[in-house]
Amino acid sequence: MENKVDSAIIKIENLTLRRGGRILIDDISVSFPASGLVALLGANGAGKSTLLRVLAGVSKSLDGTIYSPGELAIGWMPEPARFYRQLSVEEQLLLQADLLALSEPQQAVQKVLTEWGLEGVQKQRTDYLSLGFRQRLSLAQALLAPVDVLLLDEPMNGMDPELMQQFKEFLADYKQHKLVIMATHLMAEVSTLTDQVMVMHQGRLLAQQNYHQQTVTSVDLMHFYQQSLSDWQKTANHA
Amino acid sequence: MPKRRFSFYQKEQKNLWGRARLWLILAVLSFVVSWLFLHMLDRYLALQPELLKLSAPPSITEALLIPLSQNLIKIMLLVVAVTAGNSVAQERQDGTVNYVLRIPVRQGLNYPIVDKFKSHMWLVVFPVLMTIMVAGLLRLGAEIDWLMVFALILAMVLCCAWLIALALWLSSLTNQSGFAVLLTLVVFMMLWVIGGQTALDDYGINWLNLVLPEQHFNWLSHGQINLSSLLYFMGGTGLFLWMAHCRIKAIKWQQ
Repeated sequence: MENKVDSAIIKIENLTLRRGGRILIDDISVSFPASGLVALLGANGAGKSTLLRVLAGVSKSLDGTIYSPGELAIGWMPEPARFYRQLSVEEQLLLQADLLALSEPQQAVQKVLTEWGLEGVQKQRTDYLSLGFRQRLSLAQALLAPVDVLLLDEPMNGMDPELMQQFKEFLADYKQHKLVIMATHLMAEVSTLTDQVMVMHQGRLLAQQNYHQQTVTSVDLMHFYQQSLSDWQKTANHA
Repeated sequence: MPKRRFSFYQKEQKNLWGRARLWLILAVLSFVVSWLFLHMLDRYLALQPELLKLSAPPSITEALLIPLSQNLIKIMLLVVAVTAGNSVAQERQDGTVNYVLRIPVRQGLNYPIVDKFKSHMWLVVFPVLMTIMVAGLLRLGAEIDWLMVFALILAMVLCCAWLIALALWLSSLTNQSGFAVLLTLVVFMMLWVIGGQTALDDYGINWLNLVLPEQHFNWLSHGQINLSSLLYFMGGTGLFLWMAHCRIKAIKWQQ
C-alpha cells in the first residue's frame, strides 16, 4: 500500500487481479472512509473475498494502486477460518499475538477469550472446534491487536442467535470510530448496521450507495442489489 | 500475570514432535540401525583375524563407525523428506501460510523459514545420538578415534542442515503436501544415486562429486575436514533457505 490519501483511509485505483488466466478483480476504483460499515454484496465468485484478501495483504497485483495514510493495522477474518490444527485455542491466539509482536500477549489473549466466549474451549485443539467456535476464534484473532480496519468475510456463518446478537452490538459500536468492510450474503442481518453498500459481480464493482444516517431495511438492500445487477445486464446487452 | 509467549518456532516444534508419525518412523529406524550395527559387528569379528594379517589394518572406527554413519545419513534422507519436505507445502495446503504472509516487517531476523529450519535441525539429534551410543559401546572393547567421531558428527550436522534447507525449498514449490514429500524423496535419491556413481573417476575428480553432497560428506566423515566441503554445506544451506524465503514471499503474487 502506498502512503498517499486525502480524506479516505483506503483508496483503490484501477485494481485488477489476474490468476491463472482468469480476472478475479476487474479494474476497481473505490475509496473507503475512516469509519463506518461497508457491506460488500455479490453472488459467489463476485470477487468480494479476493478484494478482502488484497486489502489484507495476502494477495498482490501489479495492476492498480492502493493508497493509505501511513501503515494501517488491519484485522482480517477470512472465510473459511484457517488455524494450525495441532494447536489449542489459547496457543493459536498466543501465536498470533507473537506474530503481531504484542507487548502483553497473555493479557490480550485473555481479553479476547473472555469477550468472545472462548474460555470454555481454550485448551481444546482448533481442529475439534465447531463452526460457531471457529468463527469466534477467527474474530478473536482479528481483534487481538488494535486495528484501523477490520475485514470480515462472511463472519455470520455458523453463528448462533446469542453470538449473532453480541456480534451485531459489537459492530454497531466499533464502526463508530473504525472502518469495517464486510462481505456477506445475509442482507437482513447487516441492513441496520450498514453505512455504505457496494455491489460486486464477476470481479467488477457495479454500484455503491451511501446510507449514512438513514434507516435501511433488508428490502432496500435487496432492491439496490437487484437494480444494480439489472442495470449492469442491460449495459452488457447493449454493448 | 506472567508473560507467556508462543512463538512460531514453538509452533514448529509442536507440529514436528507432536505427531505420532515421526516417533513411529524414528522407532522403526532405530531398530533397523541397531540390527544393522549388530550385523556389521558380527561380520567385523568374523573378519578380524584376516584383517590383522594386513600391514595396516583398518581401525574399528574406520571399519564400523564410518560405514554406519554413511547408512545413518541415508536413513536421514527419509526422515528429512517426510518432515521438512512436508513443512511448507502443508501450510500452503491448509491455508495457514497466510499467517506467515501477514507477519509485519520488524527489525532483526524474524523469518519463519529460519524458525522452520531451526526446529527441524533437532532431527540431527537422532543420528548423532546413535553414533555416540555406538562409539560408547565399541569403546568397551576397543580403542576409538574420538577425533574421527567428532569429524563424523560434524559431517552429519552439516549434511543434515543442507538436506533440511533443500527439503524446505522443495516443499515451498508446491501446495500439495503429498507431492512435496514425493518430490523431496525423488530429488534426494537422485542426488545420492548420481553422487555415488564413479564411472568418470578414472579421468580425475568427477565434477559431479563436487556439486553433490555425498562426496563432501564422505570427505568430512573420513576426517578430511576441508574448506571447500565446509563452504559447500554452509553456503548451500544458506542459499536454499534464502530461495525458500523468496518462494514463500512470492505466494502473494499467486493466490
